[in-house]
Amino acid sequence: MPLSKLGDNELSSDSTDFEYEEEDSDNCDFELEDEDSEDITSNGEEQLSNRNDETLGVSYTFPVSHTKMNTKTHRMIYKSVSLEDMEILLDKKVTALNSVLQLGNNTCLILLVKYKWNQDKLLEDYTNGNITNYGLVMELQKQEQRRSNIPLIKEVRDPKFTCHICFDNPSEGRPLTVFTLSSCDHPFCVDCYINYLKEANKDNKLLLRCPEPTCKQLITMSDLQKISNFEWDRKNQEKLREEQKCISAEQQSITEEEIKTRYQGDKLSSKLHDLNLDDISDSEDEDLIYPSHSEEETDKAKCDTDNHSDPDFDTAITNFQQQIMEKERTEREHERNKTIASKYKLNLTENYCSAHYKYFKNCPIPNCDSMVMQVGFDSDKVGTLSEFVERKLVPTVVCTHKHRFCFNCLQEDHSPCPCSLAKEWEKKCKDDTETCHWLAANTKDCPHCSTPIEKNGGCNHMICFKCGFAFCWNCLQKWSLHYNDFNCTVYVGDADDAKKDQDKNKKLLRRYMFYFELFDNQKRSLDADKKLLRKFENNLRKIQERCGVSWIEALFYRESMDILFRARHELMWTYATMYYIGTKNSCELANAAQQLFSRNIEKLSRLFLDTKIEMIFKQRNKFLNYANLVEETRELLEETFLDYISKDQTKLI
Amino acid sequence: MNSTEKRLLKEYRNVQRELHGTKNSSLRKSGLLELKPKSQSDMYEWSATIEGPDSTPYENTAFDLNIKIPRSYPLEPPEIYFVVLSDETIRKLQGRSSKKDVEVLKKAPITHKCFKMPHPNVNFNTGEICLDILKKRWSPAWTLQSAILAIVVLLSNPEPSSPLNVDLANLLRCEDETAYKALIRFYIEEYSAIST
Repeated sequence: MPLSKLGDNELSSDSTDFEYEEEDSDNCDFELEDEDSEDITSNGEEQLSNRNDETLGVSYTFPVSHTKMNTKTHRMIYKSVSLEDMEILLDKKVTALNSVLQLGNNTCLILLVKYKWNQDKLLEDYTNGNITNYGLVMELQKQEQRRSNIPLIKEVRDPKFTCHICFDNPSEGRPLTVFTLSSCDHPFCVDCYINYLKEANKDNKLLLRCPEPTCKQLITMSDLQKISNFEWDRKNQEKLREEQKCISAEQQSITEEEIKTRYQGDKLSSKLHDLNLDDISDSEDEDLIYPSHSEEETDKAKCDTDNHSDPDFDTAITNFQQQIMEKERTEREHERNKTIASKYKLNLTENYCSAHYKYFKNCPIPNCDSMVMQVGFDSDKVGTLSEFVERKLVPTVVCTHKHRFCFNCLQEDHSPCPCSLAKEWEKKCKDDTETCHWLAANTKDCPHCSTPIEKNGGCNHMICFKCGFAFCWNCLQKWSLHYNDFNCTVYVGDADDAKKDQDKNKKLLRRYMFYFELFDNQKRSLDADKKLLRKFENNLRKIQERCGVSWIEALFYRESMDILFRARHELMWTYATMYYIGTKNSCELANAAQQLFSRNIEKLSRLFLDTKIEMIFKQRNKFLNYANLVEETRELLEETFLDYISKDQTKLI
Repeated sequence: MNSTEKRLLKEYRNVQRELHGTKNSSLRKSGLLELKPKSQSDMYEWSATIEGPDSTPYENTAFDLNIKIPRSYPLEPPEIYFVVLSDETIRKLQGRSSKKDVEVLKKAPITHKCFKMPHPNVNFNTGEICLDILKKRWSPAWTLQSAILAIVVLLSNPEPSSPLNVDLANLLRCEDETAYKALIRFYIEEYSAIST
């Protein structure tokens, strides 16, 4: 492989980057590639030492390889990638395949598609000489050779020529621009061809053919690129022409408007010179934004200024980050759909990822288009994801947009609660919450058999439908004590508590209620914090501008905010885990860690609430300290739970 | 007039020239008797009449087809259905024959027209056709004319591995040619009208 023969250290580490990581992933189809690279590159050990190198860009599901109690943490190695990264990866793969097959990149790509990305099978068939569609390979090769300097796009003036798609023929003074594949001679109008390709792209077709039904020629990437470039250039020219027209037509009106706004701006600034800083910064914003002519930009800017000036506009503020993300996403999408070739490439990439769905997973957060690629496992005992999950470990990964999610269940992060338990918990919450709330609010348990009883009216004399025990609704004592007097005068004590607790089911329900309330509480405070702090953050933006503090200097505020959110989230899930772990002595440590963690979280949360916005920058150290404390205890808790789970797997309910 | 309508108009001219321009039209010989829009006001609804190919059970019989053309034609394929009438309507038709049909049929030595389509790749109740070029393999370089001719070819080359009419396909799979032909003939006799 010419790739790995490169002597340059940097280059070789770059090019082996992907191949190396993939080595760990079992029964994945990249393996052949890796063996090759290792055979030739003799410095395999050097690569090993590079494994933990930051430049590889891989991440681990757990920060350390051993806990303080010296338990091995089996970790999943993964890499978060964007779709663009995937396209590059795919290109690399094709180039690597070509270096073996020597058939040309176009042919290799088509063969890979034909083999449904199964490179092993392709190489095996190729070396055995019984490649399916061998005729196709020969044809493709011929194509590759024929790809000389024939102009693919040309003008036809012969009036006898007919495009077989639109049935149009060139007339005098109006020639048709036609496109022909480099491999066949079936010309069609460029526009018809473009529409045909667009339609095929819409249907996610991976193998594009010449539109002529009798022609079996496939459209290669380089041909596609040519017609796609042609379309793109033409579009740009049209746009340019139109813009020029617009500018020449509107020049006068623009200057008028400019004068007007300038005049208004002057008046405003003189009026509000030292009255209100906020308003001035707003008006300055507008001035800054004004020169941009593009409509979209100004719209967005308006939206921005609206948010600044109107802090009561709650929903807009909480959604601010989502808005930004949405905008970025649509921009990227636009970029991808821009040309025929880029859309086709996107289709290929998506198909590739879905063919390897075990290794590539989409971020489950709505509107997020980044992906996470499973690279391998940092363990001698765990080789696959299912084994990993069976060990009650949680494959929490972070995508390129910093969304945390579980690689196995594709739900939001639920560590340290194992996947199976988290699922059970979620289900339990869904099923039982409503019932539990209602039961707690509206029923009392029969003091004799503990059946929940609803008082649907009438007097206090209750007779349990199950055991027939007669009791008083008020004091839950035997009714016979009341001497037929319908007024209860008996003092409500706690004499019967022990008896009640004997019921095991009841006890479990209590337990569940206890942990559920903790869980629910945490969830609520998380939501509340999120809402409130997003609002703060928005205000912070203003202050930042006013004080002239750079974005980086205010970073600590956002970072500690993220730490708080993450901590609350994790604490929430430890409650769910505790429900299943039980009340055994061994989890005392976990309990203690949990309490410490919870205390630190509350401290940080209070700090956020108590600190006045103006004081934020002065309190910087306090924020950092508290956040660090939370992080430290979070790590401690994580490790304690991991220790516990990996030691006492069987004890989990 | 948009590009779809332009193309349809050109297709219409080509077909009419080939069908009625010369006396012994090759198109008619290959089985296409008529292909035109249903009404003058709507370009997007066409109808066609075809003749069953010789030495098949469909020979000497005419069939009607309905064609619905999508606005994005020819990038998307047309929807083509065999005309299937209810038993009652066929009984009524068998009583009298419509002038229009007689005129079309006179041009070919055919005696009757069938209003059901017994074929392994055609749904007996709806007339839906299972043909790859009308779905996945469609290419904009196909025309209505070539699509209809492909359907004529389908009549003599049924594909029992992807059936819409399971009974007929099973007969074919068992290689019971006699039963297959006889059953089709029976249906055609039963559901045909106009005998002059």
